[in-house]
Amino acid sequence: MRETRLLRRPCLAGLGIAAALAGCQTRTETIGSTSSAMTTAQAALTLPPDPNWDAADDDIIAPIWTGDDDKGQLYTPLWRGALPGIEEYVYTPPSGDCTGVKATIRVDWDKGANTVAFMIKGRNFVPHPSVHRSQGVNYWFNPFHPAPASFDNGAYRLWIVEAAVTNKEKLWYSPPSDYGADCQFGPPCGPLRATQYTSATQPPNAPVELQVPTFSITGSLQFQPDDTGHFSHSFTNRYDAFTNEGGMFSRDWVTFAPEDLCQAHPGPVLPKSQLRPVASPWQSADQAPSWREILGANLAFDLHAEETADPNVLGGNLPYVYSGVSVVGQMPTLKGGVPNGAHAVLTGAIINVQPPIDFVPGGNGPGCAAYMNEARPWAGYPGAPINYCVTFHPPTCN
Amino acid sequence: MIKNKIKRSYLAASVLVVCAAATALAESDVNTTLRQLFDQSAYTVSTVDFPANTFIFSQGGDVNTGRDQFGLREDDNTIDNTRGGIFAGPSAVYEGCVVSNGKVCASCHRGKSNNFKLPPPPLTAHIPPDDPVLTGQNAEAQGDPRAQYNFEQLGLTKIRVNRFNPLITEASPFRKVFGWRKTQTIINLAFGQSLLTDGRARHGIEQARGAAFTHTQDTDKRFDDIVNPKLPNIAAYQMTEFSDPRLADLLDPSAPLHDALVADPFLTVSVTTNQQKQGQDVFVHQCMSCHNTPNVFGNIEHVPGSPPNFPPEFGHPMDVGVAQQNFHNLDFRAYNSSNGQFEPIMLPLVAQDGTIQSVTVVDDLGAAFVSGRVEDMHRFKVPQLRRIKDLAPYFHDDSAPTLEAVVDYFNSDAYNNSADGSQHPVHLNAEERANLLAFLNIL
Repeated sequence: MRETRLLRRPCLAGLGIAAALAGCQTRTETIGSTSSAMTTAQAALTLPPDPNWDAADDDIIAPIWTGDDDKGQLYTPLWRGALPGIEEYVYTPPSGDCTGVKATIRVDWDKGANTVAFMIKGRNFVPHPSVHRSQGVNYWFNPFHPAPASFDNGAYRLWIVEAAVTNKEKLWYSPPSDYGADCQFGPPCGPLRATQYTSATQPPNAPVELQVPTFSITGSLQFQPDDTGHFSHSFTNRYDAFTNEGGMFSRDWVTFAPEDLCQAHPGPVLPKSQLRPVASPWQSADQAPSWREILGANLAFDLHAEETADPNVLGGNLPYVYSGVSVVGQMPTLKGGVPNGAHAVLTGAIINVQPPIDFVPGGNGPGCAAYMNEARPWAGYPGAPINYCVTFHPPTCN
Repeated sequence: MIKNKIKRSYLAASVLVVCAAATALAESDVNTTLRQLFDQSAYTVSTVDFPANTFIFSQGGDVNTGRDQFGLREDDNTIDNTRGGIFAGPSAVYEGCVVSNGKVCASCHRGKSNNFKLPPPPLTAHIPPDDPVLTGQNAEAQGDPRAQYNFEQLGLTKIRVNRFNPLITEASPFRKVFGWRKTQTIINLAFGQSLLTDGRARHGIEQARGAAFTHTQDTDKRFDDIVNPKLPNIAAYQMTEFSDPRLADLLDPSAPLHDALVADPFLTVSVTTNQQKQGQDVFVHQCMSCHNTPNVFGNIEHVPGSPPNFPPEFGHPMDVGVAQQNFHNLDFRAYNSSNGQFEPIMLPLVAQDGTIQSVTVVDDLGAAFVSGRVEDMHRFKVPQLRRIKDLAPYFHDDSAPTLEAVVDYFNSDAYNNSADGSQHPVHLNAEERANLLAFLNIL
């Protein structure tokens, strides 16, 4: 039996606003079943994956893990806006009603059989989604992640995220003279020229090297919901070398860094600095991690809308890797996962401040609105860009 | 070889209250069910390993330098704030000059002879009035008039747990919330699966950073660039303070005693009397479902992997009902320094089903202050128990003056009806109580 529960959603974004609850709308929405979520979901795990959206998919409201690193299962809901990356655009259906948008993922892994089987299902998804963004408003061109601002007749893809910092990436910046600024506090400052993944060697015009933490993602192939908004997509990968679906590539390294070090505060990177995605090209299949490594690296999911890829080019993958248009997501390694209507705060996770979740701006019901998540295209955003090379003066003590 | 034991959360389904005939659940039942869903959602292991400690020792910290920066001399007892332990100087993060109040880690963790904790309250009976630990309280609490009394008379420090989150505004209730918390011992810190009373620190560097910032005066501005270089050293020092040197072998699977310490949870406990042995049996049956770290008796449950990889919670904090008792009748309203008024804090917490519950803070909500989750209300870290007889007063709020009071609390309805106590009930008769106390006194 499904339950329809009253959901109170905040009218204002941010846990920090004490008045968020005052005057907030009350609405009804079926998100899952409190009373039967565990029982039906657990029962489903005793059966083979069902490609049809079923009662367990309706009911589940928290991740369920069984087994261990060698043989186990994960079954989890995905909610709109639960885990968008930094500077990702959170998609809203043209109807402006996000009620009931939900996906589920079931993963069955077996080291002995060398298999990791994914079953992804969704409901209330818009077939062939379109996204139209405007430069300077909700899109900022990024040479290190050149996803397009807009697309029509799109499709969906699941990103499997190793959210833990598992690597450090070299970023190569020019000195400030290239930027015409006086660097009053000494190098490094200047524009990002290349990374170790875009250039075989450090470019001569980029002598400033920084090493920054990075994480990795790998993806499914694209899929499309039917006319009712339901989809089901399954694939099986190897346990010992978990590639993207199809096996052409392993993963993509993603980090968030200033595009211009003059917009990086010499003290805290956050919250006063520019922070933009820096995505590597696809890495070769022989770089694939094992599923065990992924299980130990803060597994998370981010399901995107993106332009439709040509299946005959790059094996159905996109040259810039991911679109940055997030629809639903989940971080099942966070205790309880991310509840519907909340999102994981990635910038907070980077500097380990809490709470680790905040509210989805505008909520996930009727009247939901698209928004940019934790975007920092300039230092001081949304105010005027700040050039710390000019404005920052090192403190002194008398 | 220790095998991973993944908590098979679904096996606990039998405890769910599922009433097919019910069309609506009472709110308390809903919360109970949501809490069970929340608890059973975590991918955790009970492996006897301590990735927090492993991580710390990979950060290049030096124990002796750490002792200096902790504020102690080589005897581990003499407090000395001239050896690099203060945080002062120009800071780019602070965007100014940080001036120290003279306090060091050892100002509160007052050396080995004090078990690295504060002396029993009232502190003024043991600490000179001009000691920085007493003179700095008012400024650290932004003039909150309750802070000096609660510190001097109860040994409790006002801890605004999200005070240094630059991503939320000063008006946010999450910036305002605070607990009145004790100074914990650092003994056996290496075996904590999460640190600080509410478990919000994943490892010793975060723990040391939290403690350092806590004593910032008059401002919530961070000064990471001054603090960070010292943290690996301080953490390394803290991670090597053991109640028994043999316990160090628990950290290293290749160490001679490692496997024995894992196999025999009481290997380092010297049981000499029949009553102590019977007390040990009581402990096994009544206490070890939570205090299950072998030879340390904290809680072993944790997420697999290295702590920095995961958002909190890394360990498993529990609600045993102590916070709701608020034995000291502590006031949890926010102090408004601009008008001198105390104002209630309404905290919007998210429940597992996505609803938002506005909670008026009248007691210490523990882990919920930092997770933002309804299901974490009143949860605190399960502490280690070695040298427990010397660590009074007890609980996060110093509310139990003696071990007898602790045992009596766990034998009470208040504990057994609490959220986690009801899952791990304790029922002792007079003989079992006496035997358990005899055992606890030798830990």
